[in-house]
Amino acid sequence: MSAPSTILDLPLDALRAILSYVPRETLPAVRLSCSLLSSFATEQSRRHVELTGNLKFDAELLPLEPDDGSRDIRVKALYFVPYERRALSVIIVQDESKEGHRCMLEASGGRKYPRARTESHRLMQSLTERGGFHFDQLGEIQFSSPEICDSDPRFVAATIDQFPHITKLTLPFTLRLQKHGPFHSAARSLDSLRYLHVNVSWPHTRTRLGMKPIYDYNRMDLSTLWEVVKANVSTMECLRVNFCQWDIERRISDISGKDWTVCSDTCLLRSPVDYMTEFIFTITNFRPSHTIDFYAPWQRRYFPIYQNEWPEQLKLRVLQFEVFAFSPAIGTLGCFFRPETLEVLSLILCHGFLRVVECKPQDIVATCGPDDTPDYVEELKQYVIRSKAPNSNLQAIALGLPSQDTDNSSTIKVEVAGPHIVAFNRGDETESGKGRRRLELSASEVSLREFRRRGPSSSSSSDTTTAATITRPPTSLPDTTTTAATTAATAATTATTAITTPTTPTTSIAGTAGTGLRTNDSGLGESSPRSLLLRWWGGKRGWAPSQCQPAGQAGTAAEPSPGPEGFKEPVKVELQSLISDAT
Amino acid sequence: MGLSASRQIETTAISGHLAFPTTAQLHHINLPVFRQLSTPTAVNMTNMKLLSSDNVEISVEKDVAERSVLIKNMLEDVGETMDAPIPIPNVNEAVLRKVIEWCEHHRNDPPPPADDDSDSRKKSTDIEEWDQKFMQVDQEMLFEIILAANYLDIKPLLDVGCKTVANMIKGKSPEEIRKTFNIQNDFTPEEEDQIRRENEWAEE
Repeated sequence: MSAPSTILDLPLDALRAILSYVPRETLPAVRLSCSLLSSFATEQSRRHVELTGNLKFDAELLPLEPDDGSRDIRVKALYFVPYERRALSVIIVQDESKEGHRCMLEASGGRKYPRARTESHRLMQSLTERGGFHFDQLGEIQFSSPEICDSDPRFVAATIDQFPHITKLTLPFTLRLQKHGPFHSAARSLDSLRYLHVNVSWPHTRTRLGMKPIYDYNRMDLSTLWEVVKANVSTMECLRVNFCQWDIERRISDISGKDWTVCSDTCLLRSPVDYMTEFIFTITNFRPSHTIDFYAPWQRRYFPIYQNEWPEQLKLRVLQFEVFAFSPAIGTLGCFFRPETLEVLSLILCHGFLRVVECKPQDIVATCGPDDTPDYVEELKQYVIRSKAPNSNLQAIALGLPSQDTDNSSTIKVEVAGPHIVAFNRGDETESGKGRRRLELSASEVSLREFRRRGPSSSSSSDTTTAATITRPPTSLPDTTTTAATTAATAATTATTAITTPTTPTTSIAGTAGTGLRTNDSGLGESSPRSLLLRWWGGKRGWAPSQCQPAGQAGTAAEPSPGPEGFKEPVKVELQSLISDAT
Repeated sequence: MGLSASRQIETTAISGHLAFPTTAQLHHINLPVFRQLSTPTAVNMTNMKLLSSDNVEISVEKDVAERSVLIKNMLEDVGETMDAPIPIPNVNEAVLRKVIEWCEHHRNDPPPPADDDSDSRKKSTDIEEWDQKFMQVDQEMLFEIILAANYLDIKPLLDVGCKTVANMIKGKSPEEIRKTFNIQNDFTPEEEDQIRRENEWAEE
């Protein structure tokens, strides 16, 4: 080996190591010194951004050229492999900042590119040239907002078509996208999807500002999405469908100032203003064609609701529906689809959920109502659901219901629950001594998106923290499993969930209310003796971390528990699941 | 036989920067010697010899030499029963003595943590005073120490060397960097302009 005379003669690993110690401020100068050092400095700067940005790129670092100056689509986050510069996922957002747009123009040399068919290719090419990234192993694409799909469905279709082997896709589904022919063929070409998250954005019109929008349900067709599911039946593990994606502004206008109740007879949410109810009921009324003798013939069905319509090979581990109505015609979860492999079921703002999870209204017990009466119609604070779980694999259920806040009119009265769902260790893994593992699916896959706004002017306060605890009472399960997940959820932020299995039994149960919240339905048998506890509270000032309280004894029947003393402070929506194992 | 095999290793090492002699090669070189040394009477457990690339034998204590992961693995592979010099074909005597000096000073240091992929920029670039003086050598020697540390797999020494070079880069302009390390500017004006533009939006 010849002696190195200059720094350029050092091994590449040594050069990388050297530049890893160079301060970030000096890296631009290093990039200008020579081509070899420039490549390593570029690599280091990217890597640095990745790490400091919590595995995400800052939005300004990878701007994309606007095609005509009006469409500002750019990559917001780019996950990549350090050193290899191999992109693993991209998040494509609509850029709303003028500053961002200026940066894009500057980065593209001020030129305005004409619209081209190969937009997607040029997008990636731009990233490749600028950052030296490779997209041959891209696994995830997220389209963040329906505006992208509305403004340029060709771009969405071309991007999907370029990467048919991605495993994760987050897609706002709009009418324009649905009508775009190339999107259908591109979507059908997907063959390795493991995770599909679709936010349906219904076409609507608003006659006047301030008026509630008029939705046009009849023109929307979600069959393409179902075809995607069926085409990826062998790989699909997580399916999340939000049947009504509000934009934040509309959501605020729609749900604020309304008092929500739960009807004891039908288990449906009702709103005095009834807009939301109307909307959801409208969705409810969409039935299969063979029921047209009862419903209007133009009413349509958007998703398969019978078991024989779901592919037998489909083995979902996570299913989340948001704003979906389970009508009496659907029946239980087992009738709805195949739940054998389901581990997480998340139902947010889903009417008739009790029926789906085979609960009865009588199983809902309000334990901390205003006067401590089991009145679950008004001022409902907490539910204990005593029921047989749909299957033995199901580990958690999240049922989203609105909380109330009657004291602050500026605060949205309805808060959509989530992210609340947390999967936890299964028995075999607990017994095998795995003290800690990371869930294969990230929390974003099993958790629910949460929207909390205190008004249009305070959008920055949207960060919320939600905790969920699933606890097995120590007396019934020596290998008590506690799962705690704290997820900061915003519309574009996800977090991971840590799964912890303490070696010693724990008695903690999150929440301030409901001591002795236990449920072990003795009639459940040994196969699936799981029960769930769901609670939430409305707050005056928003959300707050949960407190801990010892669990009650296991094995006793669930009874209404006294409400928390002095439970006046704002407490967030919180899901707590108590998992009991009769064995 | 051993000498020709050493040359073979040297040739291999020149072709690639991470060409450590493999265990098979070492067995091929010293197999008869190992067999002879398998008798416990001929073993000196505390000292061993290293053979530099310019064929100079340097005696070194075993625990000092084992600061090198390469040598440690070699000793483990051959059963720690060798008193024949271990060839270090990529390091000359001056650099090897310098490396041994560093290893002797740091012989009681705790083993470095397992290599993680964390951002080393988060680590301090501070260098111990002794190490700073140790690294006050000309650039050629500095690079050779880095090269030797890389070859012998002495990560703490490699880190010290890299930090030293990084400190030489820190705060300098592109021209100063070129001047410091005698680097030719191989960018075309267009390429340089492109990098400047990228630097601008990357810094915003």
